[in-house]
Amino acid sequence: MRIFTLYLTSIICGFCMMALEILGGRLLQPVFGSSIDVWAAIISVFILSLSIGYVLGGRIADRSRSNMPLAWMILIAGAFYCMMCWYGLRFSNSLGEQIQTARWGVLLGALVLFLPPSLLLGSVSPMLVKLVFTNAAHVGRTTGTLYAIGSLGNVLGILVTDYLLLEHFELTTNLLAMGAILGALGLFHLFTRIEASIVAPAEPLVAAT
Amino acid sequence: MTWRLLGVVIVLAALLVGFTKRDTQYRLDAKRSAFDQAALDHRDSAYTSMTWVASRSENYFQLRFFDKVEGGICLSPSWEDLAALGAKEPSLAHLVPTGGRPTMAKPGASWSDSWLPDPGTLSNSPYVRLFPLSILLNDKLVSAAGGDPRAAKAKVLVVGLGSGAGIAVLAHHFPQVAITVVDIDRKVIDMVRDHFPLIRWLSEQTLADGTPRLRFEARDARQFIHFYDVGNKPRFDVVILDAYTAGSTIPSHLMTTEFFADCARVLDQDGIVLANVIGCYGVTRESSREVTGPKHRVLGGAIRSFRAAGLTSVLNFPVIRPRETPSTFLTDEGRNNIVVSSRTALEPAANKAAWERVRRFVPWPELQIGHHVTRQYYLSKSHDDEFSTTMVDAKIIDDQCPALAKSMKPNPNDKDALQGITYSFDEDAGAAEEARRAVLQWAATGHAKVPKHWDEEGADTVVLVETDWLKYARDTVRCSIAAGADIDRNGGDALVGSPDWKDPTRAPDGAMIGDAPIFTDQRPNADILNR
Repeated sequence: MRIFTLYLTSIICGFCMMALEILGGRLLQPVFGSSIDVWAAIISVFILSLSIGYVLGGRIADRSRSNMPLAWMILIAGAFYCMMCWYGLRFSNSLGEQIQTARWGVLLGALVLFLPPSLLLGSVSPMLVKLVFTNAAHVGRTTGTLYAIGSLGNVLGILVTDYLLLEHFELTTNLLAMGAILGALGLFHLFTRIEASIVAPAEPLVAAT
Repeated sequence: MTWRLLGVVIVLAALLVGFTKRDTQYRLDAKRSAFDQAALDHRDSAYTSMTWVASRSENYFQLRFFDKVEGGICLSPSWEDLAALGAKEPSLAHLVPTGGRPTMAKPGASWSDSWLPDPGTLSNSPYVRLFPLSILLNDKLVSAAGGDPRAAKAKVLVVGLGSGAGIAVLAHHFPQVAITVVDIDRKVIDMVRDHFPLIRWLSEQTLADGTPRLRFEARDARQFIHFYDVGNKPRFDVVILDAYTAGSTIPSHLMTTEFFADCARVLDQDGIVLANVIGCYGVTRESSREVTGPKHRVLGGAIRSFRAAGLTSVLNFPVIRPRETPSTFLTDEGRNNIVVSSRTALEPAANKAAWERVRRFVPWPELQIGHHVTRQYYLSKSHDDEFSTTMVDAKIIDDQCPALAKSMKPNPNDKDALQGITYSFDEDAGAAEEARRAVLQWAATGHAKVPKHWDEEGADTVVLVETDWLKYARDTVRCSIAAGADIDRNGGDALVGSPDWKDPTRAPDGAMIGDAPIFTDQRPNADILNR
């Protein structure tokens, strides 16, 4: 059950993260167009935030023994998704003409809009690694499976958003729905404590001898 | 427990804010927009988000992608008006819906009016008015029809549908035309067929020889043209390139020498490629040679790429609106240019008979000046560009203060209203207040809610905009043709130099657009330059 919950968390976070990458185009296109610059900006910001998220998530995971930090990361990411319905397009539109027409303008827009939520979702992976870890002999297998499932979520997030969600629902409906799902997932973790199986050594072992 | 409670509060608060304050991708209430505009239908697709918007006071029916207006048609004259004219005028018989009008789709939830738009063929966007040039300039084609362009049996391929305004223009002027439209987005095609009755009807009609008058292909144009088998299918007389993304950039794979060569392959020997290119000449007001943004390289690049693809004769028709002086397009930072290219010489000296027809061409000859006029008021504030009300129908104010319009003076130099004539009371707060009261009064007597921004005080300028849409259309065509005929300034050689110049990165010395590149599949980049 515990492992199933963690895998499900991984797949949902992966889905929502890449879905935002596709939906993100819609937040920028009305102002910045849809040239290759726009996609370069979006992709680079998401990969950047993954990179920062991994470092951050890894450090937090080492200090924690449960899924509480994980719960907060997912919950706040969900809040960003919801709030983006309000500030997303308004923000793109409010950038001055100078920024809107500059080549780096879209990079700035993508940074402000997508860095916070995708950074939070990026930090989820290392925290999940800590939680799924049960046995040092199987560390490769468990983390490998976890990454595979997270990436599967990524793939689904891209394809389902492109082929289905964009055509049938409005941008804000999609964002709000994903925000609600992430919020619910965050709350679930907040109310269901999952302990990590490895506990950090309290003191360096050398001191004991 | 407090932490858990905080988590619940955050999630609920975010949901509440997101739900109640959510923004839409399409805004209808921009400043200085028509007060009565309403969305007929709104749809999303994998490529874009589109809205049909109609305003009777400003006489338009526009398909907007995100909130950009990519094209539109006048509501007056309606198709019904044209059909009624066609009952008497043989020249409009081809627009009379014999066999009944098509059944249209229901309007979307955003539409509350009882009437439904039934636009005719008079285009509301300027550049599509020049599409007839693609047939008029082809002397072989028109000569084969006995010298009468209306009898020309042109086979036209249009890349990029938009609102369908350009198709309506072609269908009006050339009864025998057979049009194929290729658009990557099936949802755009459906949107136009569902809500533009004339276009739907045309797509269900055939010519005397059984060819469909209008058919649609939902595919990427690059693919469609690449796999078009000229061994089994007829070549086209005209290819019109008008594909744009939502950001007003041309998809880069549709702006390369290889693609243009493929267009030339499906084209008849004397056929013409007509491309709508948003660009400029790269000249600023301060210095005649200084280069502005990169947009001029898109225009120059398009011309050089056409020539590299074998369509060596290139003319450029900058789309000039009647209030502009002939030289403003030199310093403009981005406008529609109609680039016409062919293997056969198109220049006036080498193509005399065709140019004679071009000069004699009267757009919408059956219609009358003075019949399709709109008059609108708005309020603004001097030294404050942000302040502006929506535009209201002039009747609202004229009914209550008839003296106002009579005493207003025309503004001959107002560049904000390039399509019509403006009259104004500048820095006359009293007149502004009088107009404002009239509108508030009109709303209060139960007709409607107050038009947007008219409840804001502080205006000191009343402006009346008067547009005769037919005159505007004819003037655009006349001015643009005059510019295009001036090949010493706007022809291919003047803009990018001799076609023999092979350097792919820049044009020869003396060319107007000195840094015009040749776009190839290896170096497309028209989308990056066009901003």
